[in-house]
Amino acid sequence: MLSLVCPSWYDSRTAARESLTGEAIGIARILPIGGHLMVVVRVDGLRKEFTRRTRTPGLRGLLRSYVSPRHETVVALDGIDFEMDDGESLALIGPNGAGKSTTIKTLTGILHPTSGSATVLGLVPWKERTRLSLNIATVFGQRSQLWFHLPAGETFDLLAHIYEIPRAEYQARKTALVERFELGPLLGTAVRKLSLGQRMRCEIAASLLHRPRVLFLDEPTIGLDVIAKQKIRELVSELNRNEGVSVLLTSHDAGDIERLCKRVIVINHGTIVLNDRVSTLKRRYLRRKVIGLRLSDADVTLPAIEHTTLLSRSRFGAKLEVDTDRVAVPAVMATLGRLPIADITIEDPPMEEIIAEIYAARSEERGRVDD
Amino acid sequence: MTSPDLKELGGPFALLKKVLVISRATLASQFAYVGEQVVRTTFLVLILYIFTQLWNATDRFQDVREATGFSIPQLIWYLAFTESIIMSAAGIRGTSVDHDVRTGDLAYRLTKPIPYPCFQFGSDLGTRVFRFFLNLAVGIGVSLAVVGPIPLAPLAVLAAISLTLLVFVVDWIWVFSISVLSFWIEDTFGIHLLYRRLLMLLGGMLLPLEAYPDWLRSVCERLPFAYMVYHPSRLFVLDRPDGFLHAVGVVLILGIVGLIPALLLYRLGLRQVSAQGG
Amino acid sequence: MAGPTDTGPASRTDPASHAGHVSRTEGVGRFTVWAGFLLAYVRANLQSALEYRISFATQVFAMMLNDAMWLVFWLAYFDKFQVVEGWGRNDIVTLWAVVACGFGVATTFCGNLFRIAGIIVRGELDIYLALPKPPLPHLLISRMSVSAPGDVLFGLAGFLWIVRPDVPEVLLFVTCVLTSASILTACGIVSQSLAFWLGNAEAVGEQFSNALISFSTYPTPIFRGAVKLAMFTILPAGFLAYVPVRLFQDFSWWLLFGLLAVAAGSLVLSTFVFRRGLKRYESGNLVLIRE
Repeated sequence: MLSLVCPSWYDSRTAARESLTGEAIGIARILPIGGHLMVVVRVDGLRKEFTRRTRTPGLRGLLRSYVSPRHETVVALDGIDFEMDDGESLALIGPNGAGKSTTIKTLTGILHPTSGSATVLGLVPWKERTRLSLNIATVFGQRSQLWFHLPAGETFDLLAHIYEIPRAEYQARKTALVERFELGPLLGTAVRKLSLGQRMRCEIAASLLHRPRVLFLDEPTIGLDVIAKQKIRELVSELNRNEGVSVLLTSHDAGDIERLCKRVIVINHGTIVLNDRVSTLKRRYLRRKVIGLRLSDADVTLPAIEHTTLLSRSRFGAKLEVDTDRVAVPAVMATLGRLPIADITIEDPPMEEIIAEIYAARSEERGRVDD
Repeated sequence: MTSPDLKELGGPFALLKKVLVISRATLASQFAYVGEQVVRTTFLVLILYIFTQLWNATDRFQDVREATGFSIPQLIWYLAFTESIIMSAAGIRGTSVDHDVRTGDLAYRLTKPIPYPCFQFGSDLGTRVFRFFLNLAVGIGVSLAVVGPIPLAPLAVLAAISLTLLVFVVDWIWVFSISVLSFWIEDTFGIHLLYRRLLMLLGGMLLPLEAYPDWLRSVCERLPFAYMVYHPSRLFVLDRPDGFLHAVGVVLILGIVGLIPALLLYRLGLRQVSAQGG
Repeated sequence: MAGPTDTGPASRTDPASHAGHVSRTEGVGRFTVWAGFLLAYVRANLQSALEYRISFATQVFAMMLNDAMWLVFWLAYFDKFQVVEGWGRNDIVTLWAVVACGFGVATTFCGNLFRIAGIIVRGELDIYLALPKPPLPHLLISRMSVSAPGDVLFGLAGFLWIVRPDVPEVLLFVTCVLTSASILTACGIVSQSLAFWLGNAEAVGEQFSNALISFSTYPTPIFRGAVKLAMFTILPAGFLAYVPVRLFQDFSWWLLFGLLAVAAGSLVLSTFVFRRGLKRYESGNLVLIRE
């Protein structure tokens, strides 16, 4: 499943540590080095089934459900395997109901899997939930851990006690986080009066007070505006780079993945359909490029080019889509070069389209198998 | 192979400290709504006023003290104390456990290094203690205004308040047992309401048990509810701490007995969470 | 007679659509349409209550116990004392039964009565304004207080069992229950509508209804002076409780007509207040907060 030679997320920091200790890569990934595990999350054949009570609508269905309740089994996770290395940032994406949250809930110890195994920092989450909770942090975009009626600073103090952080250490850590997350003016305001973006910043800072080794983020940017999203992404990726906190996040937002993660796992119908570097993903699934033209003369006739479609046309401009499987971009450029061009741009289709394409391709495959 | 530098949890003492810190924080957050809380004490003012009118009117025809064993000021001060105990519960449910179970918030709280019941206990206790003292202050103020002072014995008052605090702990345990039923029952509101009403009726909220008809009094004396309302309030208005130790003993036993279903049901409920999710 | 409680948002099942969209029918036809509309809601509310049957049963039972508390208090009281300000046991039971049944009837059919302020503040009125029925009655009936039937049952049982009335008294009782329910509904609407002007009036509305119920459930003659005056004006507990008991003690047609007029008048007044408030309605962008 993983490239054994040199994974992309194998960053310089890890490399430096390994060269110091002289461990071979293959072994280094399982053995602790310098007090650190190289693999912080390991998931093996994880399967989770839920049972659900069903009934037919209407009064009759209601009465019947009293007499003989019917249950159905829903498979949320259908045997997934993956690993996450120390210091890595990994995105878990998939449509609604794909199993992303179930995975996070299992890894934080909330859910017991039906079968399979998983470890986080070497601990089995559902067996040693409390012990694990001291060493990881979980932020759920839709659930606040801050006390609604209290200023965020008070929740910070409270969390310091809950996580048993020594006084001096806490003060230093708080000061640093407040500065980095620019929380100074917000700290004294009751949480209910903060905007969603401000609250999310407080939320993440609060979860970092105890210096977690792994940060689980479930939809961290949900409902945020563009600026607030950017801010959150910057902070998280900075954290990942500078402190080496491993980040596992779920999101619906392609931007989160593009900006934050080096590797992405696509999950659908409870199975992993793709586990790859974000750059590879782009390369493999980017079979189209969009060329934008600004022409210096009005109403120039565009030549017909094979495997290229005209997306839009105005008097001085045109947008073309190139099927890069069939024709090389330079070849198209050569043809276009004969036109009076003022400006030219070549763009990838947005990440969102790539993801949509993966989902579509996989469900097509699935459909075929099911038949 | 676990990471060698994992942080480890502190012992029971550290847990107790966490609970106290949470209590203190909730208590502080109650101050944010002091205005609203004061508005809510209007009912207490009303009920004390109405009862003063009722007893005064009754006294014009027949001696209240002779019939009940309590003077009118004592009856009013008693009522101020019982109402403070009853009204200090946050709503009929008195906790957000039901809400947390139903919405799945409980699952998310599990990711914190403190057991969920301890967290909730700390937070509910903070709220309750705040509301109790606020109600009591208002109740004493109104009583002073409508019936004047009664002789209070510091030792008895201290006994009454410490018994009340113990009652809050025990009451919480029972309420928690009811709340965790939400894992299986769609809505526990009815059971909570039932419990609260039994506390009011059989606990002796409106009248001291001495003023009850004999048959009802003997029923109440055999049930636990009177220990949670009548006994602390009686200590407060009588000028001697009689029966304090006996009451403390019974309340402690009630708490220990309550712990069994509370912990058992919570454990079973957790199993449900880990199987079905939030 | 604590605040109404309920199983869940009635909006889950909105039977308004079943009630037909005939909005221009006149006379008797119009009445049938309304009756159908009301019935559809009652059926849906009942069905959603049955969906949570344990909860339904315990709430009804708890409410009966709640009422029993007052009854036991008065039985205990009359065990020691014979009479208060000329009121005997039967007078108190009648008073209490009329108010309990009135409250029960009002909140069985208008389960949202004491939630109007919250609905206004949270901007949930939008839902009703967007539907083709007058918002106030629609809003009121779209929820049923699950515990209210307990009030009605217990009030009725207490009255029949303790007072042992004859047939005319039963008829008078039913009439008084209806007038009390009307006055209570009107008071609820007015106090809750304050939210249109005051913003967050939930606590004020709640305290007002608590006060109204409290003053209605104790013998009226124990109150004097300004409080007594208030009980026949801004806090009309006198009409809820005192007048019905007077009717039982010493019947007079004039008094009965007066009571009916007050009940009808208060309903008209409350509708007027709500309509005035509606003009100030600002919809809502309040963030929903966790309790």
